[in-house]
Amino acid sequence: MSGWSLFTKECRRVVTGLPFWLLVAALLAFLSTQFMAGLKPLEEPQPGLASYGASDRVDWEKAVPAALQSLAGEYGENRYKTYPFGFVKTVRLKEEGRERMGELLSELTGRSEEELAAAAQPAGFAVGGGERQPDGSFAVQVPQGEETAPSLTLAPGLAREDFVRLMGEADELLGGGSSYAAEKLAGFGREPLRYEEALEQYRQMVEEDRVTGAYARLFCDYMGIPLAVLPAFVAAALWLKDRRAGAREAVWSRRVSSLALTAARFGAVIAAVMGAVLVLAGWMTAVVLAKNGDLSGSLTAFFSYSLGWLLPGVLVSAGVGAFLTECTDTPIAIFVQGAWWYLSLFAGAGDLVGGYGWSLLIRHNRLGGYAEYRAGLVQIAANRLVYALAGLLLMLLTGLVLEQKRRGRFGGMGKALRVHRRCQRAAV
Amino acid sequence: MEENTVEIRDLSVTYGKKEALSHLDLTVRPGLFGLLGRNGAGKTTLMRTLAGLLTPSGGKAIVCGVPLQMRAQIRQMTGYLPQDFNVYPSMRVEEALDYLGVLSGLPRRVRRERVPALLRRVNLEEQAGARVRALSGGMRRRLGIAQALLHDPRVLIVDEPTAGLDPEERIRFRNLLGEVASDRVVLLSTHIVGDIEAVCENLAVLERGRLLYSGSVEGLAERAQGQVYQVSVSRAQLEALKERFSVTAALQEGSGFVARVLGDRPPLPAATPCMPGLEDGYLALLAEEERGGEGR
Repeated sequence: MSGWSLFTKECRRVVTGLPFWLLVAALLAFLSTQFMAGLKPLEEPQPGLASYGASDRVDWEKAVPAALQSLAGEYGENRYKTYPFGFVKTVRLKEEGRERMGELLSELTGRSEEELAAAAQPAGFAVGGGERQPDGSFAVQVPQGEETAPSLTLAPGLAREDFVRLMGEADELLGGGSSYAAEKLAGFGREPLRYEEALEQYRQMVEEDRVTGAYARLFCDYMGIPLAVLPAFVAAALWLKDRRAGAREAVWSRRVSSLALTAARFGAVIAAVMGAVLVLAGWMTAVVLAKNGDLSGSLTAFFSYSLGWLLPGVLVSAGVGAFLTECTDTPIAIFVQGAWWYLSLFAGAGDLVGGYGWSLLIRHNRLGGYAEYRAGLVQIAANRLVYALAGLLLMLLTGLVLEQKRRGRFGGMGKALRVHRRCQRAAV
Repeated sequence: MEENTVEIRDLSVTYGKKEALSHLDLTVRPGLFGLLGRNGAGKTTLMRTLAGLLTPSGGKAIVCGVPLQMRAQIRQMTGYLPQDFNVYPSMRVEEALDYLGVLSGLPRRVRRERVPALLRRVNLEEQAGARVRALSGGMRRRLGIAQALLHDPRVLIVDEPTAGLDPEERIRFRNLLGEVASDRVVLLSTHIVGDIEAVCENLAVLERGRLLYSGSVEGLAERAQGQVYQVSVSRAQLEALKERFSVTAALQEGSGFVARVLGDRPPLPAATPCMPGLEDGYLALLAEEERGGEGR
């Protein structure tokens, strides 16, 4: 039973450390400002409403001219807004780039540069300031009070595939991250949700998602952001304690195997972090069920989603924290994991629902979206399994490195001894 | 081979190009065994190797019948008090011992008995609830010996345990080591000759990673037989003596000094021969080594 004793002692060391409580504070902050701030009960859509939100259907008849108008407008001013890593960037093209952009637009619209200048209007849509819809989507607003019907159309004979390709070239010319990238073009022409569709979404949330499932996915979407990076801090802090305390010799000379010690510490980080997550999951279950008191909800959805969706991210983040700290005896893991997290978060900034792929952060930033979730379930499962296994592999590698260091290799006690002897000679 | 014995054969430990231990042959039997040498002689390297914390580059060592490669067993059989012993400063004393006991695989029942008993033995019972960071240097060293004894090891490896301790603590520590040595091998490494003279019957001397001497304490002292003299001198004579001989002590007496000198001949006609002590023998050995090195 000493394995259990070691695990519980390591858990105590984790939960009495400041990094853990900083992680809990961050989770609470995210929860209150992101998830709870917009938490509303499910409401059955009523017929005859002005809007039921935006659907995933694209009206290309609308999207194409709107995209062309936007590009022409930005071309006219030579000021393009892009979001390469989630932060807005204004791009101004040099002469050569401007010429090429003009050529692309001419090819797209069949108009000359002079005609383009005459047809160009101020740039794009005002996004944001819209209301969040019951299904979690935002209603996109378009500038009102002026001629908004775009006057630019596709060049005759140009197929949609060519439109997408040429717009993609425009996006590349701008350095990427613009609204003209292939996966973002649909945003120019989302069709509104019809009553029947809104009703079907509601039915799915109540009957198939059992209410809490829909909220649990959104919970995991938000919680996944801090949980993809902060466990690395907690793990790095724990792993650095031996060296900082000067306790290595006392610990390393013990009988405990390197793998057992590593597994106990790793397990303690995971248990502590997921313990906090599951407490929050339980709390949110109660809050959601209270808000939807007239509906029957699942008591376990938040817990099962937390384990399946969030745990793998925690495993790999803690794994990177443990492994790199063990290898380097420095907190570099925090920066490495931070960089990976940043790239994952903002590289996928346009894909907030669906498109789960192989990213560290899988997003589902919508209440509901059951159909997209079911369609991507296999990919989600594969993604999460790979990351879970990666986290466990990192733990094993950490144990291997520790064992070599305990034998005086990879630095370890040999390095410590060399430093000790240098200090002694200097003192003499 | 005896049960409680440490056998070292042709042991070498290398860091890069530097040989920290060179072809060491040594046998350590039960009781208190001293390991003497200058700073950088290789004592700590040997300690850590026997504790399973360093991998030899050549040779072998067998601890109570177990080869060094079987690390889990070696770590179970050896208790190690490192020179710079420390544990987590925010932990309480009892908690720290209990944690290290868990790392040694001790069940809860055993830890519940041994931890308080060891704290009593090393006179830290009253500090059981104190945080480690609040302990003095001597208390911390006593905690160190307690943790080294926690899993009842057959071999106790103690590296420079009295360095920095006041005389009272040093004596207390030596007495404690003498008590625990009754039924196990205790390897005591130090550069303080007085520690070994006080408690060890046998010792080894290391210098630059090589074994210079292995045998009894009396045997090492006898190496300086006929080389130790005592003479009364003035300050000026003392300075002149220091240039030609090894002056191991100079006690002020009135306006002059009584010097204890190591040399192969009387330093002054008035010098009288003395019985050599361990320190004399140690210094004579090092001087021989220096002369032999110059001739190499």
